[in-house]
Amino acid sequence: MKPVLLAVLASVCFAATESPLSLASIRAVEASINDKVRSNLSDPYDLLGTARGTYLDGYGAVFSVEMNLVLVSPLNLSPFKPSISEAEIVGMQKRKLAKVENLKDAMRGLMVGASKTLTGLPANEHIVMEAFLFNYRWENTRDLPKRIVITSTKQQLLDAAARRLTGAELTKLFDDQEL
Amino acid sequence: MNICERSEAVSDYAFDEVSGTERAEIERHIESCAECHAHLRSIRLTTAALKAVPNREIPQRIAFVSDKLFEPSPWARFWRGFFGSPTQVGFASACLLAAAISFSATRKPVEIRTVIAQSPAKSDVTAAQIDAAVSKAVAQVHAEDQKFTQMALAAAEEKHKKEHDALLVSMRETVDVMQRRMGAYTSELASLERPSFGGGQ
Repeated sequence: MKPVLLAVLASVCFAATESPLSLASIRAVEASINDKVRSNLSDPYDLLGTARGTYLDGYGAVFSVEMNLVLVSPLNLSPFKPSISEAEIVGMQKRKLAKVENLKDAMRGLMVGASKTLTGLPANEHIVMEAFLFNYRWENTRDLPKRIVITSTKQQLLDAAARRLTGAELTKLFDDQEL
Repeated sequence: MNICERSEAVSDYAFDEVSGTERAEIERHIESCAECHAHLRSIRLTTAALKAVPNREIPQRIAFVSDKLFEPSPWARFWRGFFGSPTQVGFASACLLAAAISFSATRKPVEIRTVIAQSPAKSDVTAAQIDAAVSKAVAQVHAEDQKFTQMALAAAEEKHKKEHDALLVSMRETVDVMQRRMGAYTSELASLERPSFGGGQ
């Protein structure tokens, strides 16, 4: 009797944690995020933590990635270059500020793509993309976000993909947060 | 040399100052007149010789050697006259040397007098007091110097420590970033090697 009860309990537990999303679809979205981050050859992002996706039951799929907006040479400060000039600091901040909007556009595009890839995700659930932005200590981080979180529902994203919305119209569908 | 009556016309011909009909007539005359032929030849030679001489600018001023402008000054005349003669130069050198020897032989050495000023006997300040004051002043200056040196050393050490700390932090940060970057590459490589799953999570 006891083994039967255990078997029933185990099957109930597994049934409760079963995900509507396949691991392959999550991996595919992760790969597309990594590829997108690395794709800008002229002024690339520095991918410091590859995309990680997870499904939160009843809420949706959440993807997070960690990067530096600008790929900086590892020896930015060394015994041979003991200080960083003010001009370099100001230049870095300007470059990063300019790239924040580009990154947000890229994230929105990735989310629209993910809505088609994540076939098992219910339409009323969310797709969230979160980017952790790394800054060196010597940088001037004023006006620069540390995290960017963009949220939308799968249905909105599918509609956007179907209607081929312009950039401004697409932006309205997302809930952007800069933290 | 006889002069032909038409020599003037030949000169005009030589300088191209005759008309077409006259030119032909003169040419015929020159062929028949040896004098005019010789005259024409001399004119041409002269012209050619003049053309060979380079043009020169007309001088702006003509001066004569007797002008006072070219007359040397009395000092220059003496100098040139003196050094123009090796004998005179030799004689003058010998005189100068003799004078120098005579002067050094007759000259007495300058006596250096050392004057030791004696302090008044009835002065209130004693030597011991002066020594004490000097020692005190020297000690004070020495102490101030030491203080300034220590302050400068402390400031330099602090600056060095700050720079060292900043460098260490930066190096740690750089190493951390490189590790993360390598981790990202490794992770991506691993995902490429990993077989894809078709089933659910």
